Amino acid sequence: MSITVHARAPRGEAPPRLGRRIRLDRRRFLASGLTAVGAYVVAFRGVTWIVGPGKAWAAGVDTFEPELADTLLKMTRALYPHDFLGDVHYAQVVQDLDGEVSGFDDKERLQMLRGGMAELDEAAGGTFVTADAGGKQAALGKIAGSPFFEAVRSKTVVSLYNQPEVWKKFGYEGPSYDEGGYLHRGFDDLSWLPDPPAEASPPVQAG
Amino acid sequence: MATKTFDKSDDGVVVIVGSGAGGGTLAHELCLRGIDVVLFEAGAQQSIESYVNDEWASFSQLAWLDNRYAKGGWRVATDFPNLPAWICKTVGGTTTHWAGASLRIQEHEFKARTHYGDVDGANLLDWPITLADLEPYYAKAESKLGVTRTNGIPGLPGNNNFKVMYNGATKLGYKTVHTGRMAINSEPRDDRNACQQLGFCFQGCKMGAKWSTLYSEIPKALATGRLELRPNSHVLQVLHDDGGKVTGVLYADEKGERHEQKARIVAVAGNSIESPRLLLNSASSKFPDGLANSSGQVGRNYMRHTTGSVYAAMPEPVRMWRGTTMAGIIQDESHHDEKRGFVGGYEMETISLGVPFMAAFLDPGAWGPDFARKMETYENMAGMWIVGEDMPQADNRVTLHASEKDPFGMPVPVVSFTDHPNDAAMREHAYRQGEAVYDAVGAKATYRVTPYPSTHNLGTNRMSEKPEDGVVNSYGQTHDVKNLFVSDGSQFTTGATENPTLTIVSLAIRQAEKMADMMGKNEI
Ligand SMILES: Cc1cc2nc3c(=O)[nH]c(=O)nc-3n(C[C@H](O)[C@H](O)[C@H](O)COP(=O)(O)OP(=O)(O)OC[C@H]3O[C@@H](n4cnc5c(N)ncnc54)[C@H](O)[C@@H]3O)c2cc1C
Ligand code: SF4
Repeated sequence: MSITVHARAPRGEAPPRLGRRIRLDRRRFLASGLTAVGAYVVAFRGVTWIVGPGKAWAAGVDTFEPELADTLLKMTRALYPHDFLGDVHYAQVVQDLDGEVSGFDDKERLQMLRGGMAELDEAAGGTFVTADAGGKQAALGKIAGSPFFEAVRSKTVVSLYNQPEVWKKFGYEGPSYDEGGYLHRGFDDLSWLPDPPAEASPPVQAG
Repeated sequence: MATKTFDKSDDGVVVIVGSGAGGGTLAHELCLRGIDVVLFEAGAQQSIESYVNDEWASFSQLAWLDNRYAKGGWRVATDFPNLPAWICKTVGGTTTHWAGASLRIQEHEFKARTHYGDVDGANLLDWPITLADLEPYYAKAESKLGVTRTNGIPGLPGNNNFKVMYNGATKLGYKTVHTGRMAINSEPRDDRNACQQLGFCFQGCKMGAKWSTLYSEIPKALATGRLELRPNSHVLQVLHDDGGKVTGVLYADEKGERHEQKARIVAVAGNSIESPRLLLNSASSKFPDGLANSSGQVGRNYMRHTTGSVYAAMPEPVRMWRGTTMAGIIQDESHHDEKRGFVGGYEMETISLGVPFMAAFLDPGAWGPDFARKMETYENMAGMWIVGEDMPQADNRVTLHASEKDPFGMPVPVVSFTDHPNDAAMREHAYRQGEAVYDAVGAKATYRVTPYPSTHNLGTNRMSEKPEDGVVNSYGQTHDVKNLFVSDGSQFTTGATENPTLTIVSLAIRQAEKMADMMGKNEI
């Protein structure tokens, strides 16, 4: 069903830069993958998978059980909700959170996350994942500042906004050295305001 | 060419602790004068090739991440309790991270106590030197760094972020607005390239256009055959004899093994948290309060400049990340005028952060739809950083943690800081003016951003005329120990308005000259 990200995209398009552990169906993914919402979580042969809408992609998590992965998927989006970001980007955050608890004998952090999930469900008056948008915000407001909340929030704010494919959605162009900098790529192309005079802003020096 | 190495028992060398702006410059200047130097650097060696255009990856590569504590009333203590300062641990120190703004301190700022008077709660003092004393060294430093708008070097071309700043500022009536005095080549000079507007000045300049001791002072010093650089070597203590003269340093090498390096002179340049930490950790029965601390001022008067940022969501795209990070300056508020409700002045300088750092710093700890909407204005954002004089306060200080130690057994530092009311009043004024700049060109929204962890760290071994008021004299020589010097920003008597590095470099050049002279006369 799935191939790795490194397959070449058609027509010279750069392949999306996603985490190595996200597997995707190239054809389905190119149709909608980076923006689609509605991912769901399944357990398959003992492994938890976050599966993208239309099965365009699948992100495996090593340690989280499906309920915890699903809660964190919805929680990370509610913490930093951007309509233009598909679930695949939040799934990567869940993978990163999973990475922090996997491979350790010490289960303290995993227990903390499980306990936090129960806390969040209670704050939502049932289950967090099924609460509506307002209900999710209210539930988060109730637990804001708890160790669980801070653990998830502080990881999410780094992991979500550190994804090159997310940068593109914000317009941010990222690394520039390999492209020769912005000297010839629009560092001063703003044209909706007048240019400052040369004594304030001299021209680029020749050579 | 094989680089020079010195024997650990060689007591003729000058040992310098820290290879940043102060230590790297001092090393080069001493080598030029025929003096042998061993330069210790706790961090690893990177290069123009190994730098990365990626904010978090670069942060892990260059930043000082050993545990520290932030305490006190500043918001950093809440948001970043283990990261009071954003500075480097690498060869070249924080000159790898710095943006390059290079300004001279103003005449009146060297006499802060005289001009500002007895400000309640502030531990103000005049510097033991004047602008006139430092002018010849400023000139040398500007030439060394290749500062634009000095020595006939053209200014840098302004980027989009500067265009917004310029238009807003001039609409508001500000007059001194330009692309700054920057230690960034606008044309090739001194074997360094011209700036290609990469926009990753904070991540180490991959063009080598920006001055850094890593690829300017240190290679030149090595080429004299008088320098040994020891990276991955953390100095733990400065050692002394019964007579009260320093004899060398105790350090841990890459493998954590401890060694002693003998020295004729020790110069401490670890930046304003590590330098006092090292002196305090060198306490002995002879110096129970720490080395060179008879005044009790070691670690006190910690300053970090009154800072903050204003970002604005403009009506059209700005793409502020393109090009030099500090691409321009407004200097009309840098004078002293108590009518504004505070003493001292401030500068406004463009700044930009990439998406990863913007998310972390725009409103640390914030979440939810409001924060997300702010982030979504990213492409249209313009930004400026406020940097102004803060008041030295005796209780803003660096101390040693009572129980927690680093892997080498050295107590971790605790940095306590609380704004003085003057700092708060200045920041409020600067936020208002910054917002007005962007409002003047149609900002849709403006965001006041709380100070980042300290990038400018100053004052914790301050210079004073009298030994009872400070730690070092006007040459950075400690009042208590003749052959012990301080060579970084911790010497600053007061913070002044200006970004500090040009002054740190000027003081290091002046110190080298004096040290060589005293060595020649066998006074030390
Ligand atoms: C993001 C950023 C932007 C900046 N922009 C500007 C600017 O535009 N203009 C400006 O003037 N300034 C700027 N600065 C500040 C400037 O970088 C510092 O003022 C300057 O580098 C300080 O020089 P220093 O010699 O005191 O310390 P550093 O340059 O920090 O060097 C100290 C070195 O000592 C080493 N060290 C510490 N303790 C030990 C020990 N015990 N043993 C061995 N080694 C040790 C450290 O690892 C470090 O490498 C900026 C700083 C940052 C972080
Ligand atoms: S903008 Fe200029 S100074 Fe800054 S990193 Fe790029 S080349 Fe270097």
